Amino acid sequence: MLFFKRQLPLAIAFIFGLIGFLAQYIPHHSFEAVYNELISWVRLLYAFALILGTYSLLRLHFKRIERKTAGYGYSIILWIGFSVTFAIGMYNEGDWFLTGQSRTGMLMWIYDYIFKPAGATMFSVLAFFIASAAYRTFRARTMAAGMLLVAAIIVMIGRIPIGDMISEHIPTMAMWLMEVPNAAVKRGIFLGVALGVVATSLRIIFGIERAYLGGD
Amino acid sequence: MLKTRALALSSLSFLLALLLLPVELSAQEQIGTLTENDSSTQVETEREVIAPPLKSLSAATGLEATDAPDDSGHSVILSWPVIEDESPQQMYVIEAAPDKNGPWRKVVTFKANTSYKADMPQIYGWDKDALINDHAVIVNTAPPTKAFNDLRDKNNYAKQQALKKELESLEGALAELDEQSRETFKPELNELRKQLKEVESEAPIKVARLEFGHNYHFRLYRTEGERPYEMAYVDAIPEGNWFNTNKINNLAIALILCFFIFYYIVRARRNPEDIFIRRIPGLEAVEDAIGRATEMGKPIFFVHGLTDMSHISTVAAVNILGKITERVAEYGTTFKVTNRDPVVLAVSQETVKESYLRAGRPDLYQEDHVFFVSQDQFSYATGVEGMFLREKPASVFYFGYYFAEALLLTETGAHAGAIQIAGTDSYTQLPFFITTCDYTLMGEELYAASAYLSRNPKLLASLKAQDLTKGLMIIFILLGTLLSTLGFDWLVHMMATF
Repeated sequence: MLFFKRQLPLAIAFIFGLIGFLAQYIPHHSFEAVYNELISWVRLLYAFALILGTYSLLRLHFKRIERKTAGYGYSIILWIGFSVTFAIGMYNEGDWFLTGQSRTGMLMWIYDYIFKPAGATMFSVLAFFIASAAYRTFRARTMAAGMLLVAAIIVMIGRIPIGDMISEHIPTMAMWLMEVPNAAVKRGIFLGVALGVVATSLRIIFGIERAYLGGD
Repeated sequence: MLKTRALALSSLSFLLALLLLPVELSAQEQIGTLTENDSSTQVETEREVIAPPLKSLSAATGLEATDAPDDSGHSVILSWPVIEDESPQQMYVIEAAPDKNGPWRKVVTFKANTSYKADMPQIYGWDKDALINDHAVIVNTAPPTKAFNDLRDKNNYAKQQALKKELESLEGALAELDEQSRETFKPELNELRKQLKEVESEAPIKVARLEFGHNYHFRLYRTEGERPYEMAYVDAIPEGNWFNTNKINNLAIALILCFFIFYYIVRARRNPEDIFIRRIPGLEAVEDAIGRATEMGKPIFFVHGLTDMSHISTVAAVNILGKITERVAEYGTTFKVTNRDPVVLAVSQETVKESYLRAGRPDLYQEDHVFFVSQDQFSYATGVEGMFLREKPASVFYFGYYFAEALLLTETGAHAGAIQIAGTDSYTQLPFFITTCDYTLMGEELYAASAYLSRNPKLLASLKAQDLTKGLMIIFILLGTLLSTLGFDWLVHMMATF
């Protein structure tokens, strides 16, 4: 049993991690074919995992309705939304589910007139959230917050026409802030992230990192 | 058993994509315009009849075709010395054929004053002055191997176009009609759609690439407007290579990192106390955040990022999840994990379950507390925000890679009064996390968190190795900047990536 819980996942991680590592340096078509085959396995795996995800979501909300927990009305809406969309998707404009999904009709109507506007609404709320978050940050209670406030004002004004009207130096300063200190910090973060990614990958390949298996 | 297998498979899936970049180099960017759907045998035959070589533009001398190095076996390089009477108004055209008698197909065209050997340092080196005297082009688009197949594709393409046109005009006409009339024409519309799908699946239009081991024939000529040309002929066999020499520098750094990791692991085994890691306040605060939730009797949320298991930041987040769950299990606090990806969900469920087991509290594990919310970005954000507002969590952890939903989540979390700890390598979202969260792990700290929380000497050793490699790279950067400023570019060339 321990073999299936520990050794096998570690062996799989090592073998396929090593294949992934070597694929970086071996461009040969034979190796490329192996890699492409593995990628198609991943796609299959994801298709099955989606069923697990849907099951988890529906089960969770079913239990909420069953127990009448706070906000269970939203769970009812989720079940109705899922059932209706699923049924319309299966019906597929009369072609049923054995042919490709229709790009017109009721399903697209739901997508265009319910799903997309709802997503766009959430995205537009972001502007107000930025304003409230910026207000909290720019209260200049510390030296760092004060510097951030000054830099933000220069960049904001430097990027609109009025900045150039106030002084021709403001857009130049804004550009300098973006291209020198900002870019330098960004590259520093990239360097650290890249090494972190490689080190984590090697830790997993060599079985040093086992937390994802519930180990140390 | 099944869950363990699922876990094994999921670990497989993210490791596949761990260090991978696209295998195929996009030579198309270097070689100018590629023609796609002009593979008509008939057209090519006509061209041969109407365009006899008339020597008004001289042919390229010294034309060579060789297998392209460092590739999978699907490209060749054509090179020839610059011709004296070249001008920017002229175009070079390369045609390819599986046989010296044709059928020929145009595979590359580019302006006569572009595409030199000097543009390909990965193949010809860095001596730009010498290499500017030769043209070079990578060809990876294949000519039709069988004229019949090509013609069949062409016919199919024509059929597809006709059906699409018919469908569009019918849909356009129906849009003008009322609902009842539209219903009348619906069977006809569905029939057309079905036909189109069948034809599309029968023979998809695609451009083939050169096949390894086949001998391909190429002919090169210049054009200037409608003026005729003189051709030069050559042939080559593309072959795959077993090592990409352009990545020697990359491999060297990876091996150095491996060496450092194993060196520090050996050191850590001999003397575990020897490994010093600087304090990370965000991770020190994890304990406080859990304690706060326990005292307040409110839940703790762990919010995964948007990326799937093929991203290392998600793997790092899952590793941290395991460590946090163990601490949560000790306190017996309600712990909920939101997921956007179904594979991450499966892995998270198993990780949380195992962590409760390790902490000696398997009874506290509830499968429903590790759940899927939505695959859509804003649906996910909305779902999690709703839970924040209803359940008022005392602590929220955000680990992984985030996009525009980051601020929506963290602002709502802040309004709900939660202590928030985030860790991400998404540099575009870092300012939002710093602004709205109490603690933020930036970039590499995300990858160090698991080791930091576990205090496992072997994991800490890998952090030391990571730091040492970073130091080495900083030295390289400074040295390269200095040498390059002084006019010595060899270090910059040595570290170049292709």
